[in-house]
Amino acid sequence: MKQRHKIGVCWIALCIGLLPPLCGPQSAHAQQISEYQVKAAYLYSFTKFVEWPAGTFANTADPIRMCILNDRSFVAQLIQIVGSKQIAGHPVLVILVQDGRQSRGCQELFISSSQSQETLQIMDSLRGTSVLTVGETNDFVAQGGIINFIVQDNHVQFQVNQKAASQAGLRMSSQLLSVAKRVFK
Amino acid sequence: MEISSLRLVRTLSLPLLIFMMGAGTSCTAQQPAADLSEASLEQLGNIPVYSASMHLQPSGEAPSSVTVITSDEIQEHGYRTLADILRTVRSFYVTYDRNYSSLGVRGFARPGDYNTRILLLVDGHRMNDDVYDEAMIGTEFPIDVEMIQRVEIIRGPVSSLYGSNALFAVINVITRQAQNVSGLELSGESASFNTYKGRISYGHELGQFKFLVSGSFYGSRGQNQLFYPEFDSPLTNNGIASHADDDQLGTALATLSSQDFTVQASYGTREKGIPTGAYGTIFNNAATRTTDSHGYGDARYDHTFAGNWELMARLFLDRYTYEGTYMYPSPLDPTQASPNLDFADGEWWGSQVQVTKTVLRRNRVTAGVEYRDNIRQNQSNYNVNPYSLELSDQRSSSIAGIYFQDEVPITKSLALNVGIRYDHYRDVAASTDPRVAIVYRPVSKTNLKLIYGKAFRIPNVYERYYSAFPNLPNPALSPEKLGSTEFVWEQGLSDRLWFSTSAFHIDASDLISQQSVNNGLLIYSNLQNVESNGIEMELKGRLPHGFEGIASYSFQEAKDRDSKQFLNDSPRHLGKLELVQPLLQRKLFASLDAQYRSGMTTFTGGSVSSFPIVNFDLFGQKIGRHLDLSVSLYNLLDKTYFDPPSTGVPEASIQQDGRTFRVKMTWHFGERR
Repeated sequence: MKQRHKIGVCWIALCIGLLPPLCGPQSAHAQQISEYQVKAAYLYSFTKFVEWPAGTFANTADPIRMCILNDRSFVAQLIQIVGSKQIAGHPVLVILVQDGRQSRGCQELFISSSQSQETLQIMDSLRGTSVLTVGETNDFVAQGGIINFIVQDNHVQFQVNQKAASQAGLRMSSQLLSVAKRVFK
Repeated sequence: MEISSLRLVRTLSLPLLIFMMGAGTSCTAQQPAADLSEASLEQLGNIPVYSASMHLQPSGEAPSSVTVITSDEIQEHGYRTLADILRTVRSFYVTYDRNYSSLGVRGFARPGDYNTRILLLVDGHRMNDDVYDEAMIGTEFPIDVEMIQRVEIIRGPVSSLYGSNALFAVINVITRQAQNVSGLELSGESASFNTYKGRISYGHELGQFKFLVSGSFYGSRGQNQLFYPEFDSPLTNNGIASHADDDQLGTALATLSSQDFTVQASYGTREKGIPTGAYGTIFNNAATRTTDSHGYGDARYDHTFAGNWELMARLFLDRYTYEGTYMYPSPLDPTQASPNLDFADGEWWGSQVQVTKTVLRRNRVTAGVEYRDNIRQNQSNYNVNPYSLELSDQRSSSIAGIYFQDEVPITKSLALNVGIRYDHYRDVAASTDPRVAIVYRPVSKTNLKLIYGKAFRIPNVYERYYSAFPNLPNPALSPEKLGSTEFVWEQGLSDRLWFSTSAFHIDASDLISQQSVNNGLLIYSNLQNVESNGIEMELKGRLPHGFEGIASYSFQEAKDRDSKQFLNDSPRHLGKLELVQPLLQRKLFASLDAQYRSGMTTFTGGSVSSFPIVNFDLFGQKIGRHLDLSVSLYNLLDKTYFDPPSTGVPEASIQQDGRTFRVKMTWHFGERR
């Protein structure tokens, strides 16, 4: 009985003691940039080169909602990138969404490869909205997605589906289209 | 012996923790990431990156057979309880003895067990209690179904990650968060048998803080009259149990989160009248009833550090109580009723630390340690008048587990997933449970999986020490063990149509079952060695304008290996159908769900026949912006059907409800996303 309690106390002490030292020494990997950090930076940058239809924002205090479908840890990475930045006066809000119905209120939605089986369902429920959909699977454009990431030789590039963008009432700047690896019209 | 093994676990976990501390990366390491936001599109395209695996796996890649049910489906189909949700899942079936709901999976449901072979989690928090190991799924489930965001179901043994109880399935219920509610939400419903329910929820985001509180009350008078032919005699009200089927549930849930921290508190209490005259109680006495209450607090920290280190740490405290009132003829005056009171009081706390790291490109390694301290596992029983103490049993125990999992990509299309967990117990033998899965994706839209896993369940204190008449204790019970081999083939037939099938073979040995010994006394023993073989097939489709459908069929044959007899409470055929058609620009949804269960034998030697059940629901959303309305009809065809009895229930079979209805309104005051 006594032994058991000692272990319990020891355990708590370890768990509590564990948290602060995590801001400790730097790991070798820290200076490298991961694929998803770059993707997060792209997601943030895209919003500067896309125009949403008039009436999307009531005023500049309305936030731009960058949504991530069902991926907590990617949300954390995106928040690191976005911080408290503003785009054209709009605050940027990173939101974790769990289904198509919630995604309808987003300005931008990222569907990671882990959620790709949901893509069609999401696309169906986004019909009639102006959400900039961003994906990272081979068939994302064919499924009606707007921007798709591709990784080539350790570099992250993207494709643009201009037809889907105009159906959603989004205007893409020529700068964005010129950097895109491929534009589907 | 016992101390030295515990020391071993501690010695193993200490280096792990130190390893984790040393590997944690600096807070300033996030700096380069922040600078990325200033990079131009061209610059971003020129940054060399290292690949990392993403975090949640798609079910296609998951090394198991997985089903996910979302809050949309729950609303559209009008599911009232977790049991309603689970009975639509392929190869699952639910039976109800008018007190608790029992879940069968792949042909396994043992009478007298309380879903002990299913592990139930809420947001990753273990819900099986420390006295009965019960996974409560009916109205006794302490979370309001309307607060569920989604339910994730993993079929097959996963003891390699979760330890005891994860034999046939792991069910993880994910609750709604502040951003899913945003503002005030009020809901009210009314249903057959004088059933009413009300809920109030409020979610708000304040900077980094998100909080959600919700409370609900459910009350049902139940069927005014239930007829049980076994009691059809003038002495027992001609078999009619009158006003004895009432059901009350209260729940409260609060979740507060700020960035990586989440704190959750939950409490649910349910009281149910037992109309069946169970355990030899006086038939048609409405005072016979049970109350189950489960509350917990759970604090969790999740963080992804630079360099793809993911950490999850959790600390929790649970309390579970049960009180049963059973009315028996008084020994002093047999014309009078006198209660026998039955109690369980469980309290446990625990903690878990898990770290995940992606190494060598996409090789994902997870290691974790878990400790649970069952502070109280008490059971008692006494007769009130004249007072006699039948049982007073105080126990405590502890569990320490350590686990490891590695997801190894071998080639682009082939991946291996290996996991192992070691659990140490104070008073039963330690257990080591491995799991191996091979996932092969030869071409896009084709997933082939071969999975082997072992699992175990330790006998609970109820099975070992409950000894109020007519039960005998059996402290010498040993753990039951299970091995399962499964082959899964998932095939996309087009972008909108998926077919999946799986074949499984399960071997369970030393299954703990209740048996009758001399003079009708009951005892739990390691009785059966069982084998189950089966196949499952599922077709899932979605049309461009939103029509969705899932149809599944499963065939399973569960047999006692020694007697070669088919198992009771085990249907050989199960069929499920779910259809949803959106109407009026997705403002209205018409949905239909149907379940077929073939006949099965019961443990008393009788049988129940096959039946189809059809339910229909109309769900209108955003009527005048703020209102959701749903009208549901359950058992549309008014089919008369029966479930098998549980042990202690004197009837040969238990008739279920005929056609019933429910009307539900939900008002969303806040902005809806």
